[in-house]
Amino acid sequence: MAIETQSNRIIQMQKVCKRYGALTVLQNLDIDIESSEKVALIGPSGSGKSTILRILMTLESIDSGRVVIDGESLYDIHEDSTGSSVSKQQVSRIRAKVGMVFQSFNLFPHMSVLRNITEAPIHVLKLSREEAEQQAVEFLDLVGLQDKINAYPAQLSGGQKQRVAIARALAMQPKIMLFDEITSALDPELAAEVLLVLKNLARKTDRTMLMVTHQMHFAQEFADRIIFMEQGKIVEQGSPEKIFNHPQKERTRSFLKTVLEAT
Amino acid sequence: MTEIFSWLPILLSGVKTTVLLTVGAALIACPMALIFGLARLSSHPSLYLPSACYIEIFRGTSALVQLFWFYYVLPHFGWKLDAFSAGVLVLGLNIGAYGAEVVRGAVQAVPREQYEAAQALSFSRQQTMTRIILPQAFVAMLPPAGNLMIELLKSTALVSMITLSELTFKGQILRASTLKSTEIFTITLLIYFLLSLCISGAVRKLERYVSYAKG
Repeated sequence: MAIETQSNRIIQMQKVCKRYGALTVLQNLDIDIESSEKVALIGPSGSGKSTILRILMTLESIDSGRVVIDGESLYDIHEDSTGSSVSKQQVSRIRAKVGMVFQSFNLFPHMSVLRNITEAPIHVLKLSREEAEQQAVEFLDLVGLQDKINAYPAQLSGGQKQRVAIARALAMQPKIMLFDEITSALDPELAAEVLLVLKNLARKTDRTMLMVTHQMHFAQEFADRIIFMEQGKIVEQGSPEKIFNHPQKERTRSFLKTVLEAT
Repeated sequence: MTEIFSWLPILLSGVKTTVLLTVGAALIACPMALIFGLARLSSHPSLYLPSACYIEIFRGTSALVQLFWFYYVLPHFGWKLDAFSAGVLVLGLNIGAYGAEVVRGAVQAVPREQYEAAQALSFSRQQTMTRIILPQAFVAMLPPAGNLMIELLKSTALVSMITLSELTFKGQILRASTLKSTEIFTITLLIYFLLSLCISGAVRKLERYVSYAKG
């Protein structure tokens, strides 16, 4: 974390609570993330990891707490549900700073690979078609798929689809990239090709990246910081070296033992 | 055999009316289906309630009685329609109601994840509909819409009941004057069949044109 010259929090979540009916998904969660930091969220299923990403992508609201992204308030809701509401424009401004890659790829099946990548830059960012296409070619090159530019999603393997999805998210030039279990739907070989792309990406850009993953070895290599969560709370966090080699909490130890033995 | 040829001009003049009825009603049905199908999906009562009423009323009552109502009852309220207009209007509204359900089903069949992906890319709600959801829904709409078009063609025969001389009506007139029921109604059936083949062929062409590569 030596790259930061100044402490620059790009994501702040304070006392965030999220419930689905009777089920509490996040409990008074506090997370601060520095600009250009690479963070991996790990933990058992249902621990609320993906919910954090979905809240930051504005796909999910919260019940109480405060969320600030790049200096702009997304939520500020007190425990009695009162609080300042955020204007639609502000939400879309915040949304434009964040990009997300999904577990199930979610490419647009009726568009070619090229159009999947250029559609939003042309119609949302109002880039010219030439600019958008030129940029798309660069991103496709980055994910190693230049030869698939005219293919349709259904003609691609899962790993290729996920790489297109990464290029599509990058094309919107987000400051923050969220990766939600992006290799969980892939067999190990295809997962490896996606992780390789991600590793290069992490090395090349100073984007803030937040990933939810079950691939412990990858988290170890990719992340500056590991956050281990369970039942909507942070159990332990720290550098990969600390979490994987010297975990302080018994729960972290037992989780890592089980997961690492299985793989 | 020669008398069959003497019937043909009469039947074909009926075919012309049948085709005009079908095309006219389709021109009403398509926009009705799209507008009311989308309105049905809205969470706004002022949009979905009128839509639900329209769909349920036209789906839930007999098309023949609707025709009688538009042709014989509406004049009592000062709105007189000729048989052709009443036929086009009733058939159009009728098929439009079924079509609205087709549109609704096709839009609902697009996975929720597509909306989320669009939102993550900052598309506006309107852009999400026109660029992401409707193009996918349209492909899913086509086969059931083709079905409805054939259904529409065949239900034009109902309009003979309010004195419009379309294909079935002409067939009945010929039968009355020649008493050759077998020949005349067989030919009439054949003509309907050929017309419906044209529709299904056209729909299949359109399907092939709009469908994207499925791997």
